[in-house]
Amino acid sequence: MLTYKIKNRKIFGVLLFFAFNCSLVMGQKTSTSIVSVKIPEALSLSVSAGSTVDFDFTNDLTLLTTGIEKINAVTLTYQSNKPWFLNINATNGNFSGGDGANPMPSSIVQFKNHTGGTYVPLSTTTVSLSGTTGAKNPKGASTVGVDYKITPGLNYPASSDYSIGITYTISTI
Amino acid sequence: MKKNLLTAFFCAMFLLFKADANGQQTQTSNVAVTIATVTELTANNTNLATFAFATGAELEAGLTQPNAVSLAFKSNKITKIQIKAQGAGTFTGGAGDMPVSVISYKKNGTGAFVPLTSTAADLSSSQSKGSSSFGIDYKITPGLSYDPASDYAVTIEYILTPQ
Repeated sequence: MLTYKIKNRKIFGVLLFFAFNCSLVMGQKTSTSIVSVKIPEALSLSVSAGSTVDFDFTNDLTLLTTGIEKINAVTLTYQSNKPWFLNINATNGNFSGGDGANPMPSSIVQFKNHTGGTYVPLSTTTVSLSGTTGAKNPKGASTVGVDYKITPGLNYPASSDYSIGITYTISTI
Repeated sequence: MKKNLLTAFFCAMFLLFKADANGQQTQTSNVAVTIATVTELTANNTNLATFAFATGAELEAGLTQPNAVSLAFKSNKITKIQIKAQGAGTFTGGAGDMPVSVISYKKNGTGAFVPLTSTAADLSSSQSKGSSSFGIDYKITPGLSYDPASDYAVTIEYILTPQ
């Protein structure tokens, strides 16, 4: 019985010694800090090239009927941290300039996304240039090229001041 | 005869007193000292100022907080100090998918930013004995891949280990 007690004490002593030494060896200390981040909705769109695109038909009148095409006439730069889509519309239904009694409509302008598709006549109704509300593009930042083709035909009087504004709209909703 | 006896007596007394004078005794005592390993580590800033991004350009370029945290340490052994993100490697908040690697860190005034992970990495692989402190710079660059949210958070752990 006595031997058993002594043995227990020895074991306890060894364990205590071991635990003490472990604490000495380990001696690890930790400290913490919390990092918090706020991310707002980041949505931007700019015309990075082609803020004014000039279509000049004066040197080749056949172009009035065949049209002038300008590839990547406009470059749009976008940034979005939510899925997005891009629409296009004419600011007005007709060009300014020329004969006000016989205005040149926006529909003589055709556009398409440079990455593909077919030309679509421009109107004051917003239509998709890239993605739709039901089929949005992935988050990110990049550019969209827009090709334009203008075919005035022979219905509108000669003038050097035809002009029309085009609106590009990026949206996440 | 008497003279001889007297001489012998004085000699004996002299020897006796001399023996007493030389009878120095010494005692010793042991002084035992136990020095435990002393380690202390304190982050002075337990809640960093929120990294509040305002624009997409900031999200892409990142925001930096120099000396966001100062780590004060004390040890009587050479130590290493490590850093890691607690948890499974993503922020809480948002859609739960923003990885802690959008955070990068470095010791103030040294080297390049290193992405944070949930595995402990050396901030200081061999820190001399003594007490001192150093600052940590943080840079967060979420980019545009993660949902807008105002509740992203992650806890960063600093670990001091005696070598």
